[in-house]
Amino acid sequence: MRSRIEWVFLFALIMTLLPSISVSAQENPQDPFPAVLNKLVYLNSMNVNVTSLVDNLNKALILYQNGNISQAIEIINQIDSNATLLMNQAESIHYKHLVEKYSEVAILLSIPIVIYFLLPRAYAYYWFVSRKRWKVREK
Amino acid sequence: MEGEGEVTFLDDEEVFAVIIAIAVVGSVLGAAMILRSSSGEKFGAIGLLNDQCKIGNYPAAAVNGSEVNLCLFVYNHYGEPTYFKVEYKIGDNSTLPTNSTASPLHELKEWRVILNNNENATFPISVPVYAAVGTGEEKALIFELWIYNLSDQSWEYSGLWTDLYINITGVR
Repeated sequence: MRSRIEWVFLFALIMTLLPSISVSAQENPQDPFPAVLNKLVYLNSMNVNVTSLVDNLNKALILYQNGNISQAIEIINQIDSNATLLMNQAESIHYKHLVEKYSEVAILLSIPIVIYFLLPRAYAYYWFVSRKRWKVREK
Repeated sequence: MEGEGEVTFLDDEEVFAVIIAIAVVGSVLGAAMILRSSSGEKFGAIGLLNDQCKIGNYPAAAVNGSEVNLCLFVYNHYGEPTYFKVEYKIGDNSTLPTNSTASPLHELKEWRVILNNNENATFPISVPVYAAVGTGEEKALIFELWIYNLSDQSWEYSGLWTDLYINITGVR
């Protein structure tokens, strides 16, 4: 059985740690950047170009750190609405990118086959064209 | 067939086989480069630069309680836009961070930056430098790189850090 002193020490420890726990828990909801960044990361994974949006978000972060909260929030809201619009098109952009990517691969892989069939024919044609004015002379 | 040998490609099948082999290797390499992950290995970087934002000529000493001007460099190669935080701490040999754990000291200052993949940021900073009486005059200015984990919604120590040893004068 624990002594009274141990219980008092435990209580004091909890009371000391409690404010720091609540402060760290409150830190994240106050930060407006992760929610928008989450959308941009999703768009990036769907091959949507978000470079300018991320740059603007970083500008908003600089303003936020310098204390220009209202200006920063305004930029964040703009980025958020742009990101929401792009999220509606994300899937079609993603599929378009996939089609382009696999088309390039198919074209690249078909090059040896094309060479195999067409190169001898092309060479034969060149051989024929370059010699078609030749005259045959009997030895 | 008579006469066919004359128009066979280069009259030499080995040359044709070599051309086909080069085409096969080239196309497979090209396809592999397109199919592989665009980012490759994922990593970040942090660097400390002098007040001119260049390597070298770091301050060796500072007056106790003064501010030191430096520059920070942060690089993102995590394959996606990433939210970074650099925490500043003053410590010594015994309180340096490691590759897996951050320094146990409290942060004195922090800077945050959001970077695209393959993008870096270099920005000037001004850090307070001080030492308490009896703690020694040589201090390590510690800069730790933290990354925001979007799935856990929390800051995570990246394992990357840099430091600068400085002699603090005027400590009584």
